[in-house]
Amino acid sequence: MDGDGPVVMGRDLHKRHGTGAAAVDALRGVTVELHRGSFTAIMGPSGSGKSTLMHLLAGLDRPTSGEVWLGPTNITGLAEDDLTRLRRTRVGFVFQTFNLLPMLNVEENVVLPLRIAGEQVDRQWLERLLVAIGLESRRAHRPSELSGGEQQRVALARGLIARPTILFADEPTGNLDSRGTEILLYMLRRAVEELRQTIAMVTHDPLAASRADRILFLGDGKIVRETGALQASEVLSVLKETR
Amino acid sequence: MVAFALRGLLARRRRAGLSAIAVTVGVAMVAGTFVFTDTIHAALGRLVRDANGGAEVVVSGRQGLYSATNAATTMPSALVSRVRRLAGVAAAEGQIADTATIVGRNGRVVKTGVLPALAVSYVSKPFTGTPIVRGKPPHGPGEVALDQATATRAGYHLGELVPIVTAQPVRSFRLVGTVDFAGALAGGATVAVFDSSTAAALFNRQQQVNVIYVTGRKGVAPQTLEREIRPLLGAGVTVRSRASAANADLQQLANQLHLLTGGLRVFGFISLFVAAFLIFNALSITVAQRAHELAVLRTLGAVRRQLLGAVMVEALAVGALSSVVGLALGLAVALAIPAVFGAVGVELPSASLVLTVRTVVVSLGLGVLVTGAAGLIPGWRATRLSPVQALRENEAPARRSVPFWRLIAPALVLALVGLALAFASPGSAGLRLDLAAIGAVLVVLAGVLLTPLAVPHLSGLLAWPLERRNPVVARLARENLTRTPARTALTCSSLMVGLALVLFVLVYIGGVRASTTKALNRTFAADYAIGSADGTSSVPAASVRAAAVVPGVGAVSAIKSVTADLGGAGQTTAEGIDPVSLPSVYRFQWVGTPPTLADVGRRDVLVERATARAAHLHIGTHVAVRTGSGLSETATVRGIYVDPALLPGFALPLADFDRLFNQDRLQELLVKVAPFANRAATGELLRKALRPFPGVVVRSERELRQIATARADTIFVLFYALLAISVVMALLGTVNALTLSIHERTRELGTLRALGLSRSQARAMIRQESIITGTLGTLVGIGLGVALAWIMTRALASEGVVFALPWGQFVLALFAGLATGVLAAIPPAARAARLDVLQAIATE
Repeated sequence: MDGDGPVVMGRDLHKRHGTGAAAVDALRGVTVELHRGSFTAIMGPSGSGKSTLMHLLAGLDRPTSGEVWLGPTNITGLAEDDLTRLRRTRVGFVFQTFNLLPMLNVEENVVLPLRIAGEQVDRQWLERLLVAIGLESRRAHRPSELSGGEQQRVALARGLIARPTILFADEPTGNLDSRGTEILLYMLRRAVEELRQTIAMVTHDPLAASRADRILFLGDGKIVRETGALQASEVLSVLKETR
Repeated sequence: MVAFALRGLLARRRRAGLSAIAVTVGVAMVAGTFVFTDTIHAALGRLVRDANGGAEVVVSGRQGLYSATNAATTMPSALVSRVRRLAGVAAAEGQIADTATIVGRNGRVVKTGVLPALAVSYVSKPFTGTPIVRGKPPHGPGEVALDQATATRAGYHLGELVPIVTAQPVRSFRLVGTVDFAGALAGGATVAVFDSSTAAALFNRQQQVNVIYVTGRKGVAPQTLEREIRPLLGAGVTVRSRASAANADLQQLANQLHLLTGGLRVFGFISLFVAAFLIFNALSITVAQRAHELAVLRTLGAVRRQLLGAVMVEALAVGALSSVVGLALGLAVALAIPAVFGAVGVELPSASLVLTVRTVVVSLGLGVLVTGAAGLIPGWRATRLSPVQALRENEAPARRSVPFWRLIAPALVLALVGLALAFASPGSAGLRLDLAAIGAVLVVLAGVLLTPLAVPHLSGLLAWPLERRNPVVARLARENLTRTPARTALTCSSLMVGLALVLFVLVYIGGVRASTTKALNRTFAADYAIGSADGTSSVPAASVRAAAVVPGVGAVSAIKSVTADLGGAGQTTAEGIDPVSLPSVYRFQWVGTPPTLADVGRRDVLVERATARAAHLHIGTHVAVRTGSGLSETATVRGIYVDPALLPGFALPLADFDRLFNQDRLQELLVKVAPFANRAATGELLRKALRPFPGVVVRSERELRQIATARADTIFVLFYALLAISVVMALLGTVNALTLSIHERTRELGTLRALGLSRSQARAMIRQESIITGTLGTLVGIGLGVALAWIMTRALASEGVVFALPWGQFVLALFAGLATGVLAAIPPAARAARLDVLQAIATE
């Protein structure tokens, strides 16, 4: 990757759910490029297609038409298992519901993607991540012993452990209190600045969106507006306008 | 991934525990029957080896000594002297072998169960077949030695008098010694040892022996001995090395136990089969419950194979662990089998347990294989999960219609192949039975596949009475069941399969019983039948004389019986009948032209329909009658009759029977009371006259029928144990599935509670779901069981097995199913009632 070209690219993406009269067009021609080290927020009302867009860009779902490029690879035609293997190294995830595995402790949860891929754990990198999320002393704790904010930080470390090309965050603050939200957003920002980590974040929360460098507003399966960094209050007014 | 799977397993210990119990029970049953069979075989092996002790080669009839029905082949004593004079022979001794019933202190016969009550003459050094361990060898007409185990069991001490029935009426002999006859064998054969002239007198074997033990001079090989002896031998007599003689004897003994050991093994396999369904059920549920977790793994980069691997590792870990435990428990089962049979009145040999490598390999292998196979489909389903599911909210499954053709097509194929196999009729009865069994299993699987289609209709029907009483709750319960018919079907699958198999066996046994009673009703024209109390040992011929002279007795007709072969169709029974006296006590049920009985004579046979079918015989066919000792003679089929009860196999006139077979004893003595005499009084007199023959009983037709029924009832009792096992397994499966359904509907339940459904209503809803599911499983299970039984009785119709339904057992099964439903609902219903409303609504 040359650092300047897009690391993730979606070209004229269409997604149709169902067939015939019951068919719903979730995406109707979206083209998007995400550049290295960028922090993009994707916003829009329910049903605007923002989650669908993220699923397509992450290779979790396949477009009805259009292409998705992850780095130099066109993933649209890849077989399921090849795509999965690609995802291991190129894509990280943070979910709204944390999705930590309850029977594994903090450290085991963090290194799980590497274990699945059968790769060596870079101990130094692991230590750096654990320190960064402030849980290095609680690495042997189970998820049930952590607060929601702490669990989401573990999920963030898990998303970063494989040094992915891009980290997708799906409503990462949706289940957090204001303090948890504050800490998580700070950490996402640090990842962008210190590691030049590319992040795409789907969110409802104007506060969260205000930490991004760029905001895509979706409506009815299309990008209706694209802005640079905005204050939370500005985000709110754009949301009102585009509704 | 392996570590992940195992960690997951630890986290869900309780659910895994349910599957583990099922596998453990199944493997324990299989291992138990193997250990039991091996133990018996080892004990019998010791018995036959000890009996041939000290001999290098053994001269005996081909059929060996240990048949319960056939008398041993005799040879003239002169043969012993001729063998002794051979150049290579150092020593040779003849022995008489027969059966003798020992009477215990309480006046009752000492039971031998399935093994014969043996009587042998004493052999002296160098032959050690009758090694005296205490006291001295029997000498003279009044002395006997018993095997140590029998003496202990019957409580006889040296010097005491022991009543014994030989070929003569009961007589007391002084116990002068005990022999160590395969000392460990308890509850099996009894052995009485007499000196040779006493044995000859008791069994009418003057100048005759049944077996000759031979040792060679130094440096003479056993093969050389055999070569020297062989030219001296007549037909039906053979000379074998000690080892191969022992092997042949062992084979004969093992064959007598074959029905029992085979039945036990089937029992074990059924448990394992039912266990497989429970594992399948439990793993399916685990996969469904962990759909979210598995989907997360997919997003983290796990490929499908890894998920399949994780589920399989989980299945195999449960399988391996519980197989090991099951193997250990199997030893306990092997110990318990004789005790259980003893409790219902069947004595079985017991000895120190034998655990062979084969048992270990087969039990562990089967346990792991079955769990692995049961894990495949849930594992495959895990791989179908799309990672997007991890990101979606966890919703209760929407109403899903059953993929009609995807279920029906394979089910129809299975059913058709199954039926085709079941109704294919290859020549051999054994193969036909095997094919029918395989076909039956396929039909069950087809039934399992089709069950989801019946779920909506049946649960609607079953919910109807409940809906009248409690409309809202019952309605909810019904909707819950019908929205995922496949899951509902899965929930009751273990109950269904368990019940189907148990009922199948019950219907089958019922059919055998009905065929026996039917035959008795039609053919029995006598007032009394005199036979042995245990049904296996035979009646001394002397009892005919005792019965015939009883005042009031009109006609007496004796039936003798040996095992023989007719037309190469396998071992069957040859019955010796008296064509003159038989018609007054027995009505033949002829198929086709009835013969004139008085004309049936030398080289004529009458054939029972099943045997006729197996050997493809018709009236007028010439057929080879082959005796157990290998003699063969051609006879003509004069008539074909139906009677699987009194005269199974084929019948021939006694004169011819005695010429061909060497059988002094009677199987049955049929007695007709004279027209002027009082029936009951004559019966009493008969009983009195036969008192010198303990072990011989006088039975009226009604008692005869009761015996047939009672024997079937004994088997029924054993199968209730199987019913219990499958109900327990079904219980575990149902609890499992209901718990999952509660878990999946957490939010929905919370909503219902918020809308005003009370705790007790929530409980009632789950209970009703459970009861409907249980009843559903029971009904389908009964249906499948009946279908199976119908298939199998069709395959066995030629053996005289009829299709008869045991209604009492159906009612019992129905109650078992209902009880399963009620019991299985308790934990999940409690869980549903405990739900915190606010939390449940917020749950995603």
